[in-house]
Amino acid sequence: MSETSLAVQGKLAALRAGFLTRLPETLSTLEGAWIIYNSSKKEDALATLCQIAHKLAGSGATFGCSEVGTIARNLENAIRTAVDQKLAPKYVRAVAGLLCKLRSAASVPSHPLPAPVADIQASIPIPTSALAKKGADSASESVPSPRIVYLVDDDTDLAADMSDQISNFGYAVKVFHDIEAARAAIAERKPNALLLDVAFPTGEFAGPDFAASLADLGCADIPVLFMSGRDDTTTRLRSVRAGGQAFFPKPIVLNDVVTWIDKITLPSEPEPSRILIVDDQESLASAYAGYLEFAGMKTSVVSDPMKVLDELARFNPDLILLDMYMPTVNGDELARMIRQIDAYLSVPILFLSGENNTDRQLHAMNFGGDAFLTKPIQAEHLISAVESRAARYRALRSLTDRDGLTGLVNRRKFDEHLAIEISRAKRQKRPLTLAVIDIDHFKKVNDAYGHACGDRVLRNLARLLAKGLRRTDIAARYGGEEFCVLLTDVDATTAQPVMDRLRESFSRVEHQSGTATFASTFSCGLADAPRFGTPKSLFDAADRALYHAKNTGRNKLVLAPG
Amino acid sequence: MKPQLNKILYVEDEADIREVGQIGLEDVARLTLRTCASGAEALETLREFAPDLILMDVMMPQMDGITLYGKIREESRLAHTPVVFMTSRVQPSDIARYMDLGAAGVIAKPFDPMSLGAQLIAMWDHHQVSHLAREAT
Repeated sequence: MSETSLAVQGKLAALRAGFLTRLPETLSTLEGAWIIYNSSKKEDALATLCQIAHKLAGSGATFGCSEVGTIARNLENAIRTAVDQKLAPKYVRAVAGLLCKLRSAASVPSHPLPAPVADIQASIPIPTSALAKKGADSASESVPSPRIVYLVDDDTDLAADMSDQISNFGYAVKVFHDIEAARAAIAERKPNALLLDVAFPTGEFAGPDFAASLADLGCADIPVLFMSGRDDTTTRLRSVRAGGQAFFPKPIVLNDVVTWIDKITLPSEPEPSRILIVDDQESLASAYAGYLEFAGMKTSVVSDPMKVLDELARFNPDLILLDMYMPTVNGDELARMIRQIDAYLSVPILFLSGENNTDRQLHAMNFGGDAFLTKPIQAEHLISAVESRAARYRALRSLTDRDGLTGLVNRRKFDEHLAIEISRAKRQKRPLTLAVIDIDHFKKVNDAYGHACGDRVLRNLARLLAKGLRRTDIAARYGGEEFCVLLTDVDATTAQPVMDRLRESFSRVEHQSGTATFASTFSCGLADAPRFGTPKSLFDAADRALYHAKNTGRNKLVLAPG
Repeated sequence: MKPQLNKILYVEDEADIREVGQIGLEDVARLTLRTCASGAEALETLREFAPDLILMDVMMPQMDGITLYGKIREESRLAHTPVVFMTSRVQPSDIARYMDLGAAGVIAKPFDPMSLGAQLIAMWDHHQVSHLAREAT
């Protein structure tokens, strides 16, 4: 490289460094200007916005940040389109999405090009690569990977029983009674998970020793779960050191084991957090929605505060973002209203406002708000404030709302759902059916085959209900061998064939007990709203119908008389 | 002797880009350069600076490149000064539009500062040849 050329490259590099240093600030200005424009509709804010986006498009490309340049160019077009479309929510979201995209493109630390390059290709999005990626994704989807679990335990009865139960959850389970057999099988084919006892006749810690040696087989990546009859620090420590991802003391709670195996073998995308945004300025709310959706959350926007209660029941949010000052209802009033409904006692509420007055903020917090965000808020602050709280709430909720044995909603949560759904059905003048289910002669199952086997019957029914119903229906284990199902938008006559099919499927399921199998049945009572218009009257009616089914032969459905 | 491209007027509203262009034209191509940040400034400069070629950005606030081009062409002493547009819109239809206006060339953004000067020289040479050809007929 000649001296001139070196000097030139140095100058260009310095310019580029300056551009990158100013970039975050430029993006904040852009984000702020977009929010200000959405709330004020001032033309000069718009002009600033377009100008910054345009400049960024040019300089991004010039300084070798082609992604930033491309997104900025799309942003400029999206802003003009959104303005042409009178800030319709769809277009406002698109702009917000691009702003976020710009932020993440700008935060990529290594822009690999050392100096500006006139590569026009780099500034034009290349759709083929996106298509190729999509093709690859769908190809991998079409090949369902078999999920294999190796279970290694010298206790043959326990192993057989566990294998049988884990199979029920859709896994191919292979049982090995000694470590050498398992080692040979692993060398042949890697399982998706390895469930390993700690102590074997060959050694007190033969399990962990074996797990530690997996690396020699080139199989260090197999997730290992330990189970042990000993639950002490030494045993737990040995299993942790051997790379165990979980430790289950015996007697084994199978649900825990399956949950872990699910978690390990199905690294499925977590369901997105659901955020309800309440702001009378619809386009502003849409801008927030765009930011949050870009970050992978699901949003619902309500611009009429009077409709919040309906939307709460429908959308079931993990967090509520509430504008403090709205013309008809104030944010703090709305928060108090929401808090007076038991089901929403703990859902996080974030206030949004231009309020800088700390006293006023404290006052609002007294009425049930969790935090106060001051407008205009930047995208990244909004996302982080919302994301962490929603995720925490969701985790907490799943712990307290679910039945440990079956994974269905528990009684307390179901009662909440029942109350919410009934009032919604009333408001929207839609029908709603409650089915109360009781397994026939369940006590006899427990007496004849033992409680572990009874638990298996309960889980089988739970799985059947969870799979056989619509996403909008709610199935719960109400207690003991009693289950409830809430079928939304249908009356009892329509729900009857659905529930009857489930009854029939259940009666055909073969439950395992050792080497024997047996069948079980359930009886079911159905009642619907609005004929029975309160939670108590609806429940009592369905329960009476169930009682009737039990008294007239069992294994049948009975509709509550109208 | 064939005349050589020497004096350039470069109009670009954005400082960063202007500086990159300046590096390319002065440091790399060793051309004599005057830079302007707006159309108004360009018109002011043109009163006392007679460039061999004018290089201008199309999208500028207040006065855009096309308007500036019209004003330049109104002045008889600048009527034949070749003008090259710089733009990020390089669809064939856009290029055709600028060429129909009478531009000597269009340079796509982002541009390569290392070859910007060479590109302008090539455009200028081509313009000279076709200009002579037109005068001959």
